[in-house]
Amino acid sequence: MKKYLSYFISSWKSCTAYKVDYFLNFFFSLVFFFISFALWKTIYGETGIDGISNYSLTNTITYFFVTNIIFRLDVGQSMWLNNDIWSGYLTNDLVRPWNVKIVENCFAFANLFVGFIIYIPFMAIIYFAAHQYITLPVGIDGLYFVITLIIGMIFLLVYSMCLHSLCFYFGDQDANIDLSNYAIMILAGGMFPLAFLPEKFAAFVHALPFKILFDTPANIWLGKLQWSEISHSWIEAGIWIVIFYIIFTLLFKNGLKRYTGTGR
Amino acid sequence: MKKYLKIMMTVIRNAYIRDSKIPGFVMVSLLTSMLDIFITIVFFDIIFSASASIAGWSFYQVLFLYSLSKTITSFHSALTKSGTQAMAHNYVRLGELDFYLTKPIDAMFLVSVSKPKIYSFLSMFLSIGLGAYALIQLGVSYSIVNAIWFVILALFTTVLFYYLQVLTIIPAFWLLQAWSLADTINKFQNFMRYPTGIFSKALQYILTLVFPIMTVSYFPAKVLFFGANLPDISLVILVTIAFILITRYLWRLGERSYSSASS
Repeated sequence: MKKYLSYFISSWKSCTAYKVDYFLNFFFSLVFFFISFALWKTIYGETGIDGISNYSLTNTITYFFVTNIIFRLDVGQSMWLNNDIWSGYLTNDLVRPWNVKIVENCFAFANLFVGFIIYIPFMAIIYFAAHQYITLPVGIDGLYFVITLIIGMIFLLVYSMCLHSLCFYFGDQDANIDLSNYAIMILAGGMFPLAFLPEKFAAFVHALPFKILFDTPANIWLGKLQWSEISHSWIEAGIWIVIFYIIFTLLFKNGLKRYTGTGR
Repeated sequence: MKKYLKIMMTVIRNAYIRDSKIPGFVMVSLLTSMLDIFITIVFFDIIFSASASIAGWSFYQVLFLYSLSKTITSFHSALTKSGTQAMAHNYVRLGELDFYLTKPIDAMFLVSVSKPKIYSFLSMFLSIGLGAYALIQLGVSYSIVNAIWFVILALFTTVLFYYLQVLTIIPAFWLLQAWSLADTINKFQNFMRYPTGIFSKALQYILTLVFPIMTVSYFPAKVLFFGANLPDISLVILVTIAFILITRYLWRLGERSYSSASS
């Protein structure tokens, strides 16, 4: 355990080696929120409507505020397994006396952890700039939100590991990972609330497991989900986590046998 | 000029040979682009189901604005984006810029075209098709003068976008690694798909003059839909010239402070 903790800390330090670059990244991340903020303020303001699909202006802005936070915890963007397999760098981890799967995730979580801590002041900037349109979770919803967020992270972790492990079989998966990340962002409600989607498309998206990443936690924050719906989403995500973990274990175990470490 | 064109053609030919070896990668990239267009249309549909217009622009006008911005960004994605991004990622930090500085050709040009992704031209053609569709659906006849000014301003702003892209990565000369800067233009190009009227006056001022990313798509489209006028035309031309000079100056300044990297 100690060696993994050491690796976690050194990964954390390496993430912040170029400090200005790191801070600038977060500063520019504010852009998406402020575009959404201006856009929805104009739409609600010009039309004078009270809500779109039961989302008031406050609900909509809060939704984008919450998704902006969740984006900082996107494990899929911090994972380098595909790159390590494809470049042959994985050999460096394989020859060491540790579990490769844990080490690969250590780096991703170190990156997310330090990123999230550093992003807190930027969240405060957003909150103060738009506080009259942002509501905070009430009572137990805050706890449910955090639990859902953790379940969502685990789900994305095992899903991403499956995707990255395909590199053992089909070579560089960079383009597929980009496509998948982009598609998931939409299917999970990272771009806008799923309730905004046309009925048929929404039914299709709700049948997929990805809503646990953005839409479900954001709606818990907004107090739009009942306990029965929340518990159902946890169970559903739990089942998918088990399924993807089994797939990943098979892919990784057999993939290692095919790994030659020659790189490109 | 002839030398630059020759280099450009060689670089494109090499890129074609490389990309044709990985058709799967090209297909997936094209799929991503198509997905982006599809989702943007769905998103606009959501917005316009609640409102007949935003900031005085109708659905198809905004769709055209989006297609214009996508056409310009795809063009640069095909030719210059990866090169400038590589500059922010590695060229300064690893000293690879040496290879570009020692060639008897403008280093900024050579860096920019060093990693073309010519399959992005497919995305550009898709965007042009989308723009044509939006114009047909608008069903308005456009005056020839407005159309000519649209083309001229679109050419100017295509150049402006390139210089803004380069400008964002110039700090890499001093910061050594600037991954965030490589992605800056991607984040800011989201502004290009909306009419300026949705933003506050202060933000409009900043995004049309200080860092004129909105100028790139908004003014050419405005001239086409609402008529050419001297203030808009001169603003685009002056801003473009100003940013060419600023970017060139800062690049030279950066080159002077570049000290290569040790082994």
